[in-house]
Amino acid sequence: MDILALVALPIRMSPEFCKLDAGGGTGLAVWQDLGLLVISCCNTLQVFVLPEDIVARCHVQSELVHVRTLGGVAPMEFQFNYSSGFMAFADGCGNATSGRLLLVTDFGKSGFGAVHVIDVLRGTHVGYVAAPGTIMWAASVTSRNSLAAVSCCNNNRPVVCVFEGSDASARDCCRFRLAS
Amino acid sequence: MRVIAVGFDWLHNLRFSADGSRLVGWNVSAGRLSMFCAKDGSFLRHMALVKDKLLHESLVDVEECEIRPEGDDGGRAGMVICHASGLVAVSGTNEKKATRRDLDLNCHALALMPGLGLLVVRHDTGVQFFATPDAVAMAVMSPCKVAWMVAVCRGCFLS
Repeated sequence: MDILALVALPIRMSPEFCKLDAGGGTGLAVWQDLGLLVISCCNTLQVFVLPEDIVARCHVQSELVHVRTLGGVAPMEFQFNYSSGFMAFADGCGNATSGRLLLVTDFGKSGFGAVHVIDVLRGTHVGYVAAPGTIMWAASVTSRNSLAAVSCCNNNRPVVCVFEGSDASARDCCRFRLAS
Repeated sequence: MRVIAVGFDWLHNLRFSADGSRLVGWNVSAGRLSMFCAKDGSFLRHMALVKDKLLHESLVDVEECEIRPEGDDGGRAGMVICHASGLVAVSGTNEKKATRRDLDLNCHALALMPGLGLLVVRHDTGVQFFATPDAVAMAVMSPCKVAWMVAVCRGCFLS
């Protein structure tokens, strides 16, 4: 991609969300099919809807619509630091009706972090890739098909853990098991 | 658990390759993007080196690598790297042939929208969208012109 050839298109958003870098890490995840955009900042997840036909409306200023704020209430009491708050949409762990689930790394209190699984459409916490206390210093996360990879710490050694998601049903889709 | 040891330092900004067989991450100790086998964690190769001290110290996000893994020309392999003061796009795994483009931008997260462009979170103005020229060209075409082009393409490929 030649980034110098990219065309900057204006997106208007509410002023309260324009300064999104205050405290903790800031991550960005996009679910392109539904036009959902999630930003992690200030120990919360901010969910927006991208303007429909965002490119076609390049001649007018599109607006990013804020949908909901997630966080602050258990089990979504996030504690993001500079190296957590990364997100990825898991695209292979659910069936067509369950939709995509968002994976979020959480530094957690005292460093015993977690990787949350969140249904962004419903705004609910549906499980963990790695439950609190089972993973240390969860930093980056990525997902492809049924796999999820998390960079974290194991016995004071930096490692990458690869998990495999279940596609059994919408109910079970949050149950990642450790890949063998 | 499949635990992949990747050296003596953190592997940040993980990304899977398109088929899920490889993992790319920012190797903090080596100061460069490295590719590993997702199955056993074995090292495969470094991506093209970005010789920039500022970039190494302030990298915050990386997107999409290795569109076409075969061959050593690296013609379509590439990545977009977001650091504290801009974006860098690097194509090619062969360092001698690798090309680089820089864009000054005060941002701290980015996401690719395949076929459309890039979304970045800027420190100053919030979210900014960068569209590819192709996407913009398509978007401003009239429906009649799009229909005409589709008909021409079909004629070319089906004849």
